[in-house]
Amino acid sequence: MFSKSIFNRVASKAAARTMATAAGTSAKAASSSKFLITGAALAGVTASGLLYADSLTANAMTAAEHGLHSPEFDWPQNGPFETFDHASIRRGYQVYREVCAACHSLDRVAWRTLVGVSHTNSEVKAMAEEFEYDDEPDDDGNPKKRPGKLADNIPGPYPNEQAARAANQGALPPDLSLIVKARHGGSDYIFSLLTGYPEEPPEGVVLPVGANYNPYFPGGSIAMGRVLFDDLVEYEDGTPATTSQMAKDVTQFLNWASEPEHDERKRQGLKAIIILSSLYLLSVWVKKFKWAGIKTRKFTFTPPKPRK
Amino acid sequence: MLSSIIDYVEELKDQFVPYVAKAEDDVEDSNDADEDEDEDDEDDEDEDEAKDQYDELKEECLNTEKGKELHHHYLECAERVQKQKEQPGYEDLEHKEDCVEEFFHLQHYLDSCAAPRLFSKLK
Amino acid sequence: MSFASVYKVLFKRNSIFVGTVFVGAFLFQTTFDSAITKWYENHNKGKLWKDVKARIGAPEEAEDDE
Repeated sequence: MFSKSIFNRVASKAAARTMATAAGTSAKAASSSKFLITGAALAGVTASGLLYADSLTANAMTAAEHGLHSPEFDWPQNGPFETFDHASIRRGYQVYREVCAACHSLDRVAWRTLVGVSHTNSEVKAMAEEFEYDDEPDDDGNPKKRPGKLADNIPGPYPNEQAARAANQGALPPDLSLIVKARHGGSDYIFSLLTGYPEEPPEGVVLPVGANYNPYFPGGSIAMGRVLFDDLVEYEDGTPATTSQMAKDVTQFLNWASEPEHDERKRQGLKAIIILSSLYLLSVWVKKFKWAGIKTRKFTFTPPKPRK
Repeated sequence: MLSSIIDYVEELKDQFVPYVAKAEDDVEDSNDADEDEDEDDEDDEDEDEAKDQYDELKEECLNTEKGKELHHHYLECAERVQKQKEQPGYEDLEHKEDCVEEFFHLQHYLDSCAAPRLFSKLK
Repeated sequence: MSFASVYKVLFKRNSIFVGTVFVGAFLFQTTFDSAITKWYENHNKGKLWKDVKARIGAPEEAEDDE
């Protein structure tokens, strides 16, 4: 379709050009029409040749470049009235802390947001205090450090992007605060990516040095290796820590990080739908009520008696 | 000049004549497939006792009729590519075949078969 | 209560009428909200933080106190 339209454009341009030259020599009308036909034919052949040459170098968008489409999983929050599974978020934070946090930051999440979602106030306070933050300088102007507070954001593993790249052979581990919203397929994609590392890349695939193969990652070659292995973490609630269990929990946690308003949003949405639909029905009834008299009235015309 | 014309004709031929992959016959190949699966099993069992639920489901799906067929397709492609690799002048080939598509077909089937049943097995 | 008596009690004086609207809105809002929340939390029982807290909160708190 595309190539055809290009061809038409090229051909018609060439034809227009030959036409213009032909117009200049309108006196020799008979010979110029012959010239026109030859010119158009020549342009057509040239365009076909160019197009064919181009098609030899063109790279089609292959399945590998798109990445394998992730399947849909039965997430606890699937459905209009379903909340996140907060026990899963709690386990997911543990997986993030023990596994992902070695490379990935979570810049946009503050400690306080975890309170009442996955941890108690005192737990989060203790977690925050384990990290050091820059404090106001003392009276002599020397920089000081202080333990973290609830209002601080969760610190990342690297001080800046350069340090992150230097530690990962030039690849930048993306910030995970909004990763579920930032990737096509959302939670399904994240889960598939984490569990989808095959033992061997498909035969014939050549990977750059240091890269790993993951079919769900567009292009297939991903800097992150497989990180989740069975029994990598030990859950406090005794859940067996299989690879897919950890992947589910951490994805649920990251989905919460992307959409912290999720549970409240669905509750408010339910209220809004009930109120707005009843108000709509009420407005329909009011309209019918008001118009009933107008719609059912009858006009009669009694012609005056003609005077004689 | 002549060689480029021959290349051109070869390319045309490649476009019209597909690589033939047979799914049904060849008893040898299906044996190969079984062997591969067995190897996978052993590896997993060596690593851990409690198996991952997703892997279990996927293995179950691999043993369905369609899973076997797609796996066989993939193995046949892998074998073909292996053979191409052994040929002289493989490095200089302009187009090197890979088995990504076969792998995707298999994975896509395994996903669609295993994914809907997975989360009921997880906590 | 017939419509006439409702009219007499609530609608006749504007101050009472406006008051009725305000109080009515407030009462409706609170009951509606708590009813919805009750249903929503019952519908999602077991997944919410308060359930998780009840399940693992107590021993956790004890550890923190130590």
